[in-house]
Amino acid sequence: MASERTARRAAVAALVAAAAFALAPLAAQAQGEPWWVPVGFRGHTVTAVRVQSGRLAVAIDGEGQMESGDAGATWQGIFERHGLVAPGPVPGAWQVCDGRAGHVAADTCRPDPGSPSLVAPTTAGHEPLAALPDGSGRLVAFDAEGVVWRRAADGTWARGLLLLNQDALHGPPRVTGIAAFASPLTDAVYLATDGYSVLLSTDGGEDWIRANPGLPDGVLAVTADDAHRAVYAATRDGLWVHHLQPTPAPPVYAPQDLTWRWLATAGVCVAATAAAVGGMLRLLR
Amino acid sequence: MGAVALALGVALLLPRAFSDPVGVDPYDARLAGVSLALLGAALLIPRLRDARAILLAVAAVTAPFCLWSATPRVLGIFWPQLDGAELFGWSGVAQMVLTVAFVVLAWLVLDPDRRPRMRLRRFTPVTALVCLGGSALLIGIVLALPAVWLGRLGIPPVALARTMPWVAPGDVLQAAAQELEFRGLLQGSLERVTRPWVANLGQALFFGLAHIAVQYQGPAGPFVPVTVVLGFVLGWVTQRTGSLWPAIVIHAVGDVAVDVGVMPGLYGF
Repeated sequence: MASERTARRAAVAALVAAAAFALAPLAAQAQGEPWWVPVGFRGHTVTAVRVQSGRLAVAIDGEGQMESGDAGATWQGIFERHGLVAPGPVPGAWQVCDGRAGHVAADTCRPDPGSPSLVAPTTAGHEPLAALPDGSGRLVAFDAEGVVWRRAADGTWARGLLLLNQDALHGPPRVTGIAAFASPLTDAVYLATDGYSVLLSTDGGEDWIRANPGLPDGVLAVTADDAHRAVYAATRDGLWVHHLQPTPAPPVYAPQDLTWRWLATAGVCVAATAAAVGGMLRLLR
Repeated sequence: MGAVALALGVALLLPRAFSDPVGVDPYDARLAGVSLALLGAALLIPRLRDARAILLAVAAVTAPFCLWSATPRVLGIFWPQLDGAELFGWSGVAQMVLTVAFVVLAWLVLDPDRRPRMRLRRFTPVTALVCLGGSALLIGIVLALPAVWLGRLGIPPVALARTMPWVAPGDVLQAAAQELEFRGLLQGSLERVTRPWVANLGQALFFGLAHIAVQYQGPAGPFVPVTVVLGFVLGWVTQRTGSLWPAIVIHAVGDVAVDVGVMPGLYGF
């Protein structure tokens, strides 16, 4: 009789525990689009991506170049031989000139005095630097060794990020691109790496976080699309897009919802404490 | 120990079924509340005398962590000008003060044959070598493992120059407090009533479960399995050397290294 009661209690306890484990993720689950969403070309290496005049263009390793006028819903081939066409100098923008970061005024580019040596722009026209859209002169850039530099608003340069070795046998991954929005949608700067996916800074390159949920580790280019509030990532497993969204946060309950939640939580704690004391008293009789 | 773990598990998990575990009802507060209530019951009820040491150790884990977690919020109310790094440093101070208070309490309320072995008096040249060698080994292993497993992707020099004067002392204090709690009070208490390897395994599992419960809520939690293994190794080192200092030093070096080289994800570490 006593063993039956014990078995019944154990079964109830197991059911309660199983229900708690099963329901726990539901409470914290955030709704909405994933951080990164595949656009297409899964299984293919997308080596470059750019957005120009409202059209999205990609280069696919061994497949040629494709273009889309509807944010990746449909694609047409582009007949070019040597990569995506790079745009010319943009007045007011920051670009690489004489191997360093420089500001374009009228039709001339003047190198910034403290700038480190940077890598050359890619054939797709991607500069190895990104200017924050607030017009403060803050930049994030990377050099040939993969060191990420930051330029503060006062014009001083400092190393903002040093990538660590991938493991005991491999060095740091290659930095493959950097992007920021041209209009003041956000201060975020996206750094692409062929190994550590995409890293994100929202304070001009001082602090960095991993911004890669769902994205392959090998990212070969990134570009920002202001019109669609999107960032595209060309990866070793297709083309992916991130639409601007706030960082996931805990849900906020209305004040009137809280009373019974607090009472129920307190009730669970009191019951658990009482059960534990009762159990110990029986065990230590 | 089983009854306590079950009570804490229910108090931690069951409310998640109907409430937000982070924003509405702080899980660390209810864990601390349950463990302090259990300790109070053990101190008041003579029949629970034999459980006092374990319950005190459990309360010494949960209550200081709750204080560590609450300190930034409380200080932020009165001194809103403090930044995150400063708040982190003061949190470490608060956690250490309360942990030391629990160590003192253990000496005051526990019978001499039940008092945990804290192993704080022994520090020999061999102990120093173990501190150095263990720290170097830990850093070497972390650097040899694939970076993406641990999130140790890069070092941000500008950010570190800004935050480390507060974050590093906060790390050291937090690591020392945790060693006093897990490898000191908990392992030392368990060793009084069971075999050494069982005591070590028990504290290591509790160490790992504590990290699962309170530290890494997001999907990017690659440290969680590591904490169980790390807890066991630190417990073994403590038993072999007869000193808690190697565990404190190695743990502190590891925590500082995490803040230097581990890049947080969208959801935290």
